[in-house]
Amino acid sequence: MRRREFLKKSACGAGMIMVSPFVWDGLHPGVTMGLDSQEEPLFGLMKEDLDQLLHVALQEGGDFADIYLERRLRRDIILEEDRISSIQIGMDQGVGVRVISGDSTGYAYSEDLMPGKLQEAAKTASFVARSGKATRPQPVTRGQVSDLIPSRIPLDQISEDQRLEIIRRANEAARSYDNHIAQVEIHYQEEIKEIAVANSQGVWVQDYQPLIYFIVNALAVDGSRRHQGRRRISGHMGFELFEDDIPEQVGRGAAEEAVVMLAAVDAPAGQMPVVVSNGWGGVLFHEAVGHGLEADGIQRGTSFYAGKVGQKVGSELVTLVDDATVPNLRGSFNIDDEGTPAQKKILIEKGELRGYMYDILTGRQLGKFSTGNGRRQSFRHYPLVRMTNTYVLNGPSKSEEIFAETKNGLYAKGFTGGVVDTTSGSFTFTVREAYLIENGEVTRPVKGATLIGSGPEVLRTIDMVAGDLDFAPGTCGKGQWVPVTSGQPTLRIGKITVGGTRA
Amino acid sequence: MNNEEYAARILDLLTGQGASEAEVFLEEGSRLRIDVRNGAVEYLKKEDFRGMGLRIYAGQRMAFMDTADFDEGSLEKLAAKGVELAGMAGSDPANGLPRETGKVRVPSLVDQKLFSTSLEEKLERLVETEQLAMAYHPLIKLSNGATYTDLYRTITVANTHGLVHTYEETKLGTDVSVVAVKDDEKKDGWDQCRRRRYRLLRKPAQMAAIAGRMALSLIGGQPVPSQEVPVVFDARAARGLVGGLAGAVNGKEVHLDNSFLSGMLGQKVASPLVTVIDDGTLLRGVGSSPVDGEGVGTRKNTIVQEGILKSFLYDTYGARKAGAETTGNAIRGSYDDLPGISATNCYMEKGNTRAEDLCKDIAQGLYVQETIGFGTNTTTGGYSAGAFGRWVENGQLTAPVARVTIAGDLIEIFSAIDAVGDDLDFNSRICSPSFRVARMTVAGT
Repeated sequence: MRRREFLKKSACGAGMIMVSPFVWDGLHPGVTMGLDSQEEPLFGLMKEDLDQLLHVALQEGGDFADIYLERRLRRDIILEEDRISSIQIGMDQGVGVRVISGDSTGYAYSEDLMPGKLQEAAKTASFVARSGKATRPQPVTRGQVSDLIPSRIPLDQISEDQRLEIIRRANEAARSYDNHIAQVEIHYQEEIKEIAVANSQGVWVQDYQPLIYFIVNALAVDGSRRHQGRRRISGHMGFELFEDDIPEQVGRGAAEEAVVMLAAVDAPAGQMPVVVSNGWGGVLFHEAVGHGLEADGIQRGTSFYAGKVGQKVGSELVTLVDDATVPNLRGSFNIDDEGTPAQKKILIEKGELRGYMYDILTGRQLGKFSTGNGRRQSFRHYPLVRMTNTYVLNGPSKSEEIFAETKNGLYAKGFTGGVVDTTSGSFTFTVREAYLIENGEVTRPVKGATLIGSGPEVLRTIDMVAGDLDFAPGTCGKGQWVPVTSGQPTLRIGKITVGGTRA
Repeated sequence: MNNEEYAARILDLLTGQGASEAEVFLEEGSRLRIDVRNGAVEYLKKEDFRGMGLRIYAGQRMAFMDTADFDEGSLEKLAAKGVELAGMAGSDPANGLPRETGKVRVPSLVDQKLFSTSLEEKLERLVETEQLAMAYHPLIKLSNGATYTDLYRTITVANTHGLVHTYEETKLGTDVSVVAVKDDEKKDGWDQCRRRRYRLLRKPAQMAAIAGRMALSLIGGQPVPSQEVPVVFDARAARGLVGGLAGAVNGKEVHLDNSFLSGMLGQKVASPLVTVIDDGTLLRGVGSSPVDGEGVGTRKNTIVQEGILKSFLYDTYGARKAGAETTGNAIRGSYDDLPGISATNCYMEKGNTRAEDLCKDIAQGLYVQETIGFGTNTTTGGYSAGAFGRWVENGQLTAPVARVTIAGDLIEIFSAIDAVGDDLDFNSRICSPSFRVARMTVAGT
């Protein structure tokens, strides 16, 4: 049977109108894509098909198997030099099959949806199971999911012109902010993703995950001085992300940073108090602490935090959570990529370590349940334990008090990003936008600052936390890329090493 | 129908829909990844992939479509949509596709032996590598595992100017990472190897020794007081600095004034000891290919010659924008990426100081074995990274150092290089021998 006939046949069987070859129809505004995943099984793969595939996956034995179905329509529109330089649309679809046998995972996928190809993938994945004695999967039953990432203005009803208009507005706002703005580069990234997961424990769920990422980079030039300012917004949501004058705000924000930083002086070097701004500052916790609380490092014993549950690991001012249930954030979902419902987990409570983040595999290995942290980049990847929206809860101070009580130090407002060595717990952050604090006042901008320290040390030395929690979007890499959010209120690290050039 | 014939059909389809120019980039192949930890398979992943990326033009306007769905009906719709989208993009006189420049002769990038090497043999190699690394010293107590990857793929790039090229390649890699544990401290040590041929992979014992030695060397590291001292980068840590330079010679960004090297052509940007090459034709280089991502022949470009900035890197678009010639540096990560300017095999030429002797004349200084962080800001030229290594006293390596940062202006850093080692190994797209910087700011306590 040719693939298309197969798809048509499955489609008829399911009484559905939307199958793969016609996905491009959805590119035309006004035509809905039939993506109501609550109703129609993805790719028309029915209960019997999934049961059969799981059966093949466990034919050689193994403890667990799952099937991950994904279809993703991507857009990436770039503006440079006042013009739309590229409009990209791409489409991925495929089915991944995983088999877990003891501590071993086998994985294979197929982009071809023919039953034979899917079974081949299932057989390949079963390579790790060598018992030769088939394991019987539980028949799957369709489950319901929550509604944490609703769209008010669905992306499939937006015309290309509407998207281009948003980009032009942000560009205009950035360009007109100041005559030092020499370049503005804007990335509009969007994906409409549907996933379905079925596993050998009988789970079968489906989710619809629209996502927008909007990034403005503005370059200010003054003689040989240059700075590129950046603002990003994102959400698992519809076009309502751009309500009111949001595009202008994002454009102006990037331009403002670029212009202000033109006057930056060299960063100081050495240990000092650092006030970290609310929002994206949370990336510090994501890197310095969060990665060490992912259960794969715990299972291996390589994480600094292994065996420390119940112990005091930080200042009493610090309560850290990972929470995929905050509506519409970039790290939110209804189900993770293993089909586990989104959860809110308290990782550290008032300085005491409460628990780790698990996926199905590490849960099995450590005698726990998944906490809904099993995520993957796409159907081409097996799941790993990953963070979702990770943030520090509000504290008792006011942000003005924090600055006022800091005689001399650094105010870190924007980070380029951070990296952690989870084994030693050491991390570094590149600060893109920073200012000196002199006599309790935020004064001159500084460039070239890097923060370096160890996660455990930073947690202990946080001595003031404000009540202005905010979130910021990012993309986390751990061999695979996944969208995440970091968040925190304004807070102060009592003492940390700032790597600058003025020793 | 072979891939070139198939590409020609897609081009016909696109011109039939009204495209004024079009390009097909077709990628097909397979990947294997094996992860071993504590002597057993942790992950085993096999992939077969096929996909295409299409650059579609309406005059000087461009759209890009990518898909792994080769269904005829889908492709027709995709083509129509692509032409429509191209019409909506901005008009840019620099847009357009390259003409045929002829293929450069690059010795075979395919390892036939790879296809006859069994999964079991690859697995055994990993198990042995991990075992030897764990046995390296009693303080090595934990394993992050060992990984093997290989890739075979065939690429066809064709455009409506009649350009068409097809080539095949294999790439292989092994990694190992183990952890030294001492009191409450843990530190990993690792090695990685990237090659074109299976038999050229570093031997398990050699990788194990590199990883084990590194973990032992760095365990228990502490910050040192902030100061300015000579800093020696070992060959792996030095890659970060060469990579920073490679990122800054992107001809398009230079033209847009978004690089600290804008306007610096012909000027001194490094010490006379420094020569940096980008060579897409390098024998068995992991970044080598007969043509780049848009079908232009690759070549050897001298970026910095004895300290003088000699050239920037271009693809067709960037070159037209800047009034230059493409240097064959249009790079694609995979079929779903637009080509962009990037280095192929970029390396600093080796010097004539024995790598072991670089620390010899240092009274007080830092020997850097690992850096973490973003490194170079290519807009401003600021460099800053976290560093792990050993303190140097009177020419000898002493206490391990951790959680310090090293920072400076990249041009000043390169200009202060006063010795270059002889230990260049082509192990990744960006390579460097070890070298010594006369003075840098180290920030610690």
